Amino acid sequence: MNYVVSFLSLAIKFATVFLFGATGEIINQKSGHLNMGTPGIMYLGALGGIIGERIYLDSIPAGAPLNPFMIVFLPLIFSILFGAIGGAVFSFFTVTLHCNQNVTGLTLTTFGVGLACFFIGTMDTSRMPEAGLAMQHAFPNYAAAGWFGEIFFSQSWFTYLGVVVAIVAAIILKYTRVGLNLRAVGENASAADSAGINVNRYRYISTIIGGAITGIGGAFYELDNVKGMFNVADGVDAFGWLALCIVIFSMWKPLIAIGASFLFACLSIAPTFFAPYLGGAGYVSYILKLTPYLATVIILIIVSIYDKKNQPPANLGVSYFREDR
Amino acid sequence: MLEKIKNKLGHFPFYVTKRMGFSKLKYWLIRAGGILLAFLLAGITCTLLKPGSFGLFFSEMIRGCFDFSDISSIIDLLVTFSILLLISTNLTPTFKMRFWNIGAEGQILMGCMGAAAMAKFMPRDMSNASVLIICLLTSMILSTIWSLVPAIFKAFFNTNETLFTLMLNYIASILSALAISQWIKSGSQSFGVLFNGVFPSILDNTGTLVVIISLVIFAGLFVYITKGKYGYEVSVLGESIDTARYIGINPKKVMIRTSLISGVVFGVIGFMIVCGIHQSFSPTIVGGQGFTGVLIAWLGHFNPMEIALFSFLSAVMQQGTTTAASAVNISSTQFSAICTGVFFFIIIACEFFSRYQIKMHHKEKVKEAKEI
Repeated sequence: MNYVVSFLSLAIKFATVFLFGATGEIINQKSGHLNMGTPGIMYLGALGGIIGERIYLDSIPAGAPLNPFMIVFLPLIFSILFGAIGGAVFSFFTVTLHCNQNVTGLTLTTFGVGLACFFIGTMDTSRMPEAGLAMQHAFPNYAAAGWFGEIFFSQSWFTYLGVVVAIVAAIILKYTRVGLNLRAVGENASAADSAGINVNRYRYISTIIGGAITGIGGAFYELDNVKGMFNVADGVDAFGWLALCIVIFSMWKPLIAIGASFLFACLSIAPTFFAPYLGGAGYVSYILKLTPYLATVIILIIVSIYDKKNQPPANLGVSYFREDR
Repeated sequence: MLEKIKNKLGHFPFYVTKRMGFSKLKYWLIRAGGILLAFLLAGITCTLLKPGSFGLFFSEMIRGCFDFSDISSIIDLLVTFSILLLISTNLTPTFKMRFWNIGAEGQILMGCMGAAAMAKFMPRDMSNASVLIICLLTSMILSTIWSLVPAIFKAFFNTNETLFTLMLNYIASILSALAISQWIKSGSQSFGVLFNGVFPSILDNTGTLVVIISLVIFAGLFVYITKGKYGYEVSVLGESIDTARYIGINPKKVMIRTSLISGVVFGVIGFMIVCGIHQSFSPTIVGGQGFTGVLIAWLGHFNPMEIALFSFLSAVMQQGTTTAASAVNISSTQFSAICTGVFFFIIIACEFFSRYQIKMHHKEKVKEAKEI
């Protein structure tokens, strides 16, 4: 029982990283931007989060107690800022300069991962583990609610923020005028333009907001899970690529992405979590690792064959230039 | 302020329009400027990180790539160049028919895995040549499967090929990790050096043959893309599927045939990477070159000669910055990634300035508006 509880609690923690990435990418893709820079943006956000935390830790006297609000707030602001810069670079190249989105995205990933790894490697990590522990639980008395509390109330503020962001994104996309316009831009940019929607503005804003949300995920992973023990093999980019899978898996719906993130998180932590029990059957862990990707491919195929409603946005990956109409 | 001007004029003071009259000279001047800027920025970044290293950076960069007293560094550069060249040229036909295959990394990795498996498990008393042939065939088959499956689904069900090939990259990477874990039971998890199935050395380097084979295949691909019926069909399909149908091209057939050919060539690349370059195998053996190839193919406008130029430049960028970074004592792989990123960003931006131009609306009115 204890084992299941700690497994689920850890899965929710990892799901948070996926959820931020997936929500950000859904907002991007709904505007017609296939942003393959997600892994790079996530790493940039991670760099931002670490810088934010460093600034806070340097600003307090040595040995002073950590302020539980500030250790979450400053990294959050900086990761949003860095993620947004990543998104802005992507949209500047794809919207204003009309560049190919795949090419820009892949370049952004190369650049972002290189830049962030470079600077994260040189970062001073003193007191970072302590700060990581301090931000781990939003409600310090979570254990009072028994196993339910252990699973659902033991998370950090980032987790609850992630769920709120996903729900808000779902509501905005589905029920508001802004969301309708955004979807129109992603489905048929020239029709949206004729209807008086400012295509470029929508694409810019959605990519920047998407980038900011994606960035939070990277920062959360580095600060809360890695806790300052940074090294080159952090693998934040792997989360970014899986977030792209989740977007397809959840068929571009943020609410489904919440569940999908949890599922993907379970599958990705299961190999290490159950390693002591697998014994000689090492291949099981690889098969578990393989499942999310295989499931995504299968969903992609099924959707393309049967489900004509839950398709990718029609103008996904297509740059829009008014004179080309 | 821009908003104010916009309100006064009814529009922004400038607008973007397509360039009329395409001047080739101007275009290449813009690009050359961009390339110089990229190298300059790399040097400046290095100087910012290690003050006073500007001169050292460039001298080390040149030494790392063009040291004619050390033939092996030249061959290393040529190997990187020819592999990049082959990957991006091979991607060109698929891109030309608007099949956005970003799975080169995975397709090559599957080829590598096939070659490695055969080289490792064929009996040791077999001759090197026959092992090499078996390796080549296996890697071709595996790569072709990886390249053909998304093409078939794209042709029949219009499944999004970008996302499909992206997923297949990761599946390939996990499968090769799985394979290594099953092959190597000792727990070291490292594949070790191949005993059999190794390219013969020319000039004391197994890479030389890789360069030769790559250039031969490149010549073949060049003919295939620019001359003949297949290349023509591919480019018509890319321009318009309806036109293709109208003149009697079967889009499904062309799509599947093109992917088949590209899969076979990726198999050869995987085979050369394992047996020729590394004589070993790991899940990261392709090292992101598949993704870089995608960038080069697009930036070279699917023109084999431009692709050759950009492959060479990025090979110089990669090898040069790695050497220079380790000479000035900064983390070299990441610094090289940053420089490569900046390099591609600048080339992408050059695309814009060569295809579009920024024009001003009524200069006097803008001036008036600014004075308010």
